[in-house]
Amino acid sequence: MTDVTPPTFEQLAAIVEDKLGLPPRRIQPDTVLSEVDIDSLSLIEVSLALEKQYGVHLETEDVDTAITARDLHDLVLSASTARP
Amino acid sequence: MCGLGAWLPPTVVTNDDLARRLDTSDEWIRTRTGIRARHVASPGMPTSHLAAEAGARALESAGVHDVDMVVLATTTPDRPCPATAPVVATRLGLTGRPAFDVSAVCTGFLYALATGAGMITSGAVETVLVVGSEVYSTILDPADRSSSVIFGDGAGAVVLRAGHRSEDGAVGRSELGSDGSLADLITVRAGGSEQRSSGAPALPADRYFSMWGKEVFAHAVTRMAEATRAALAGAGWHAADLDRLIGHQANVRILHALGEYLDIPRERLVIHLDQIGNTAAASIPLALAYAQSTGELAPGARVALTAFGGGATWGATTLTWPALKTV
Repeated sequence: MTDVTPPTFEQLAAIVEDKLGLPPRRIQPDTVLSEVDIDSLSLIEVSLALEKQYGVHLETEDVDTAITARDLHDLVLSASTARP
Repeated sequence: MCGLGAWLPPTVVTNDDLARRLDTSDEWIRTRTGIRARHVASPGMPTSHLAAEAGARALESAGVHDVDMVVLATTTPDRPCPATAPVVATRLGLTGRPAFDVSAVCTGFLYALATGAGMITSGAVETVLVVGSEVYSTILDPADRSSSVIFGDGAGAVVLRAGHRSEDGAVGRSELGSDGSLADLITVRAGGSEQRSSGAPALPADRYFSMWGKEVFAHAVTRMAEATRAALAGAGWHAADLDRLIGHQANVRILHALGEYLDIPRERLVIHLDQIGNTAAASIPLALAYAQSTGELAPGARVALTAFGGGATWGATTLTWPALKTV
């Protein structure tokens, strides 16, 4: 198992804000992702940015289960410690 | 590479045209795909017709009337059997030359290019016409808004000739790959031996093309990035050395994500799909012809080509752009 350094919530939120064209600090832990004009491809773009910047690989079907931004960050944390 | 040709059927279908018959809009299509319009073949215009038009232009660009072999990449052959390439060869006055199809969906042109270049390297032939030609309008469900808005018809072709590796236009090492566990991502499920041998009739929807868009997006970016990195390493280049990256024209957001993944700025990405949609195996030669016509590709430019498609298949290669006659 290889640990990678995962992004903090603020770092993750900044990636989501960048990909969705949202103002800084728009994404909070309780933000419901479907309520910030996210389309079906935006979360894939977020996943790819996480993979490049932090080496964290998220499965597409797992990303779809995230309701809030906190859910997404939890997925990132668990993917960071469960990497083969 | 010494010749380049392209051909698009004259009928253009805009996003607004599609919005009149499907529950979609120009804004929805543009923001999710980057596509504004696509060309559609007229009734009675099969893949061989488009391929011969593009092939004739590539031969003219190369200043030749003859080649030793024809390789056609297509997902939409004229018939399930036989291959379409012999028909194309005969239409071009090349009856008697070896001609065969390569099936790798949207990666088809890069597989065909590698095949043609490899046949030259082996010494079996000295010149090859490599064509990518598609009439996706024949496999799309007209009622399926997700696929109908994406694909277009068209053909592109190049002529390869024997030469030295150091010449401009020499095709670099091809990095090709596949993963059959992803066969369901991009498929026409019925019509082949799997469905026919099942004894069950084909479901109507299974006769048409289907794609899992989100999964394709993620796989496309990571596989094209890996293949491009390997091809660049084979050429001894870094991403920063590239003048143009020509990715398979599937979705502008895939191309932008690929550029970010590889640290290649957007102005070095060739974007052609806004005008013609995703033309599958034809997309790379069509993008080459477009970029040559606009001057984006000038002689001496360092170019990488990469694609991801059904199979799943992927690939990449490099070349230094040669001086070609625009037809």
